[in-house]
Amino acid sequence: MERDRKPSGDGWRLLVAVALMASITLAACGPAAGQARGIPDNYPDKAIELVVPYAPGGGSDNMARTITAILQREGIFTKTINVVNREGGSGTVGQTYVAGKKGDNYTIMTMTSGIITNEFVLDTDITYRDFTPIARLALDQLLIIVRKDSPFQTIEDLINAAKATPDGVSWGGTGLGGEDSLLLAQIEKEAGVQLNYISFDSGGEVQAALLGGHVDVASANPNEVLGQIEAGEIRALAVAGPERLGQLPDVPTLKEKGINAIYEQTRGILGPPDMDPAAVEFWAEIFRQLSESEAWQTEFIEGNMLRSGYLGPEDFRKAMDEESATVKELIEEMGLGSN
Amino acid sequence: MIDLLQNLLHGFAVALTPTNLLFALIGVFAGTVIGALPGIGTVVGVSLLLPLTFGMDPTSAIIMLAGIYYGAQYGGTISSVLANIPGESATVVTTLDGYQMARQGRAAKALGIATIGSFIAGTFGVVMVTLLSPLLTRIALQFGPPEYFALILLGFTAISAIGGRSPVKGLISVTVGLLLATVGLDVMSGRPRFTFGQDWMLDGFSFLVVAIGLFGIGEILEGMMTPGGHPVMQASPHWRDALPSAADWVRSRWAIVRGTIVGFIVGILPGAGATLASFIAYSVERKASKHGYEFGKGAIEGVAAPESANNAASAAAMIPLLTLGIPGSGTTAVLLGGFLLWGLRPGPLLFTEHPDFAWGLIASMYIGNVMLVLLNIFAIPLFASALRVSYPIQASFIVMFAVVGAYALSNNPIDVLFVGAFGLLGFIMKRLDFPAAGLILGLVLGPLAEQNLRRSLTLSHGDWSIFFTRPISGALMVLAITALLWPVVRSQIIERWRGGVEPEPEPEAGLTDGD
Repeated sequence: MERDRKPSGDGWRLLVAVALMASITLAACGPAAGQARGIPDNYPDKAIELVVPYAPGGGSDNMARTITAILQREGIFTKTINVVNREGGSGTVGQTYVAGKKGDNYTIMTMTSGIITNEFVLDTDITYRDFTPIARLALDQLLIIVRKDSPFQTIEDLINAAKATPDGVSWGGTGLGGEDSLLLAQIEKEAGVQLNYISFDSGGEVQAALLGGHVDVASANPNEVLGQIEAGEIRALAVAGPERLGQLPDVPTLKEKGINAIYEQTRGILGPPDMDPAAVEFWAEIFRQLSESEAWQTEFIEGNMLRSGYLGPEDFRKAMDEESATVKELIEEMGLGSN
Repeated sequence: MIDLLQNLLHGFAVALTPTNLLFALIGVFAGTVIGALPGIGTVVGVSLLLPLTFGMDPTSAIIMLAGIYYGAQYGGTISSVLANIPGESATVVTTLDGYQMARQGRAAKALGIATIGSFIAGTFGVVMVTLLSPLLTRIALQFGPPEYFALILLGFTAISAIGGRSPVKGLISVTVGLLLATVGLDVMSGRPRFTFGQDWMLDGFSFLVVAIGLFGIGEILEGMMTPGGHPVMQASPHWRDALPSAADWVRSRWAIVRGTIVGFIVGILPGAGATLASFIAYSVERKASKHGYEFGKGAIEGVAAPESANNAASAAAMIPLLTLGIPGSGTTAVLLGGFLLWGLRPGPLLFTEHPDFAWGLIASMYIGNVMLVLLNIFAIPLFASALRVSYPIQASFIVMFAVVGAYALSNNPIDVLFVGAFGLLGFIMKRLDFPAAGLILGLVLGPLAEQNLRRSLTLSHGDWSIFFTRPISGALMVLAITALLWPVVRSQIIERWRGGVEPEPEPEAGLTDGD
């Protein structure tokens, strides 16, 4: 940038003139062309790019690949969808890429709650408001777990112990500002306790620390620990969602136990900024059909122990606004705010 | 014991079906290629092939993917030895002596001993997985944050083995590595550090970008300045050239044993992994070997030990995955994702609920290691022949691989610029005799050390005694501190013994100053 100011003479002026003209022309044509273009009758007339802003093998990647497989198999959408992983920077690298595709009707992106929390925790300019909401698909659940020989038989035992010795009960989770720590902050606030949060790199490390007795309690996604629960190595004290899980009918919700904490992580689909309303409608309908399909409900929702929760574009926007407000409040209480 | 044998035989019956043999072969072949190409790590390789297994029989799928995983540990050696570019993070230390051997025209020997060591270690690892999985799992779970920190501290003592002539320069290199490691997202607080508001910096410096630059490009720049000092190969090598001579074998056999044991122990611990194992094995070997002074100048033990260690570690990392459903490394985490994709529930019941899957996989690892040793021994002459072309052509190809590899990591052009920048740094460090491997050591172990230190202190509410009051952690701390101070103490003793003519020996004084 600094260097650009230095050159002088006619060449430089000409360049400025050309650049100015070009930008005026673009500015004038942009919206008009966009409106006139709309979407063709045979939309989508070219391949769709489904961007996953996380690495291959993770939860978002798994969702994207299940989506494309089921859409194809069930005949809901049989044209080409290319799944593209653009990982890095806690999702911001891929999100920045999609945010740059203003008005592009051929790119969509997987969304997780990460994009909502990043705004408050990371030093990033990208927020969920930069994108066009298309559909909410599922809600990740969190279980509160202890190992089999833990003195805590119920969630009340845990709360009582935490009340007796503030900061004395250690709680393992992944990352600070992530889902585990937000759930913890909610419980601390609602139950009036203080726990000792230990942040790990991955869910696997948390489980190892719990099984080895290095932390007292942990939170984890149900599908990560169901095997341990079935084998009797780990006991689930409560689920943080609004209702009990189908596979674990005996595990109560926090709410039932009088702790007014609900934390679920959102999974959905977003489009680039200024996506054509007709394209948004088109995809909202495709994802509604996907969400109602038997294959999706068994393979993705039940298989990963999630809660199904389709929302169309408008409702999805409202849900994200609400989640953002909750997260903002919790993060400020945790003293983590980035500003 | 009879049960075990029956289970294993059942596993072999599964793994020896023609389909599964074919998938094992595809896996180990793809793994070798993926490992050999810098930039495409095992994690990426396995992730890319995972979707293809959708709808496949889970047993065939895991046999293929596991083949890629341990096959890559064999393949990663190739570019380390031939081009000084580590294909995998676990093969960084292999470059130290492997590339020197190549410069002396012994590339085939280096690759050969790496293959043989890998085979012995890999097979030993699988035997241990077969026999002792439940017991080893219980031991691994004893490792909490303080134990990890103590172990990593022990890993840092490797600096005395890879540090070159000057301890001060070694410490400076490690410190620079530690500083670079702080860039990016801080896992403990969830906040970005030193990213200057740039989203792409949130991931920090990718280890492979730094390694490709420091070693690969740095070596090319150095090669341009010093004509004549390049790897050369006169005649076309035969596969027999890959087999160690009697003298080489005598020197290497205990190195392989020690590397295997170290690698296996470190590998069982979830999150520690093959890289830490290879560094520790190298430093153990340098201390144990009678030819310690030759390390860094083309000592065959310096290749045998870390290469055995990383293969034993990759076999050991399967233990927590199979017995607990807990991934022990980045790649096994992706494999765990595969379990779910194929409709299997990872966890303690895997062996009883899906014996075909678990025992078929274990049996296939025996078979895969045999395939790999044959594949590699016969392919070594082919790889080593690459050194017969003239150096300018070699160098051009290395630069091309380095650039493509760096870009392929995350499709980010900035990584290519970083490879160039670190190449320049590598060249300068080489000229000034700062050990580049020290920087890598700091970069790799820094985040692990920091996180486990902070985790431990959070657990203990800031009480440092947590590192000494727990038995395993305490023992490891004593070991680490002894290893760090031993050279200083020993030199003092030697001084006294000789009557202390010289008041202060140069290098040791440097170590105390820098501490």
